[in-house]
Amino acid sequence: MDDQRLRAYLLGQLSEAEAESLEARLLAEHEVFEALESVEDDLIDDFARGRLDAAESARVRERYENQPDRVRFARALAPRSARAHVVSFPRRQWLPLAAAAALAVAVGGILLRPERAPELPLPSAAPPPPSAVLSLGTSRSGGTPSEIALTPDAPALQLRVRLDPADRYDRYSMELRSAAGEVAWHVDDLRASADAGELDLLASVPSRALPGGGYELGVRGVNEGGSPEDLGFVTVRITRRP
Amino acid sequence: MKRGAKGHWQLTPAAFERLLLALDTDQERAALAYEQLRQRIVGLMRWWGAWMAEDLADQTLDRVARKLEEGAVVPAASFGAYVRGVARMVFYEWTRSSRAQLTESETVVPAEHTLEPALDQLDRCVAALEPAEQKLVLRYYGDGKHAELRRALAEELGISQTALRIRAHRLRQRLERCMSECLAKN
Repeated sequence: MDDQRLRAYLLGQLSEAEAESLEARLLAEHEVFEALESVEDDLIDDFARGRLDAAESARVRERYENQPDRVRFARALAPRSARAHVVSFPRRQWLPLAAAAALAVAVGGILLRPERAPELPLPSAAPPPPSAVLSLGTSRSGGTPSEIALTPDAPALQLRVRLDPADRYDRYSMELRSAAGEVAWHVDDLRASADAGELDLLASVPSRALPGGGYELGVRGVNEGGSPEDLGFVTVRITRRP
Repeated sequence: MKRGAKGHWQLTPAAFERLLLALDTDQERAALAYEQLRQRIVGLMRWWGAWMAEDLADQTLDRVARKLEEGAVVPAASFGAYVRGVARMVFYEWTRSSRAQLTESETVVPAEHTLEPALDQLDRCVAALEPAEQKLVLRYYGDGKHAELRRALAEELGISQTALRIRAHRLRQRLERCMSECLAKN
């Protein structure tokens, strides 16, 4: 069940028939109910953090006026979680990007370490996973492969793929193919993050999917009801450090 | 069928057994399914705006049990829709009752200036969690792009995103309960 649909339900944006159908489903399937609860948490958080528009805020206020504890909790949680959260890809700590099709790689140790709430000390976070910044080329064969080294204890490789700002789609998919043409890893339903005129895709590739060697990363974009379109490729070479 | 002093139907052991059987032929699984169904009806009532959601959920289940005892045949595939229909009727009747006009003692969303005690209590409640739980819940609900943050967090923990969201929600529920109870005491 799509989170956006569940959120629309909570905001009263579904038709009566759609809402009735969803309610029947959530009564029949506990997983749907749990998903809705989770989406509800985020919605209340967004309300408490002032992220909703006027109409959405009014709807939440109306819906939760009988549950003031939940809103109060969300308001209290906001400053605490904001201080403790970990940003995986802080822009200021990334290596400068080249405009070339295949780009330099930054491996490990460049991620922002989690900030700590002074009044609420937290345990140390796990070491940041290795990361790489890639820009797409338009040719499958073009460019020198970007070199990425993975240590044995790295659970995953964090990828930031820079897109052409004109390549705005509802959703994106990303795929890594080995030199033999086999799909080593694939992810759908990604959404791009836009910041300062730049368009990026973020993804986490489990290390176990990358035993080493040459890979081709392909990205596709798709709009609602449309066909996927290839947006570009970049070749990478993974080496496993002992 | 059994009627109470005021003529209201009361749940009988036989009707309850029939309801459990409709949920699952295995007794233990049926008991779990009953609890989960009740939880879902409570949630639904809350989303509809009922402040006495637990009572209304019980009334819904009692009424479903009665219907089944009276011979209603509900295909398994339609059970959710059937329960939803009964729940809606129970809710509708409640909105027309005098009790619906009453509200809980506090229905106003607290203003920012009343937040300080909540912050103090939340800190205490968070501190009572295991360190890993603290980290999980605060990061899960942290600022930033949720999809990416949570995908990375699930990866770090080696669990699916579905498992992560359930774990985070349960921790949040514990914290909410803890904070509310502490504030109610003080």
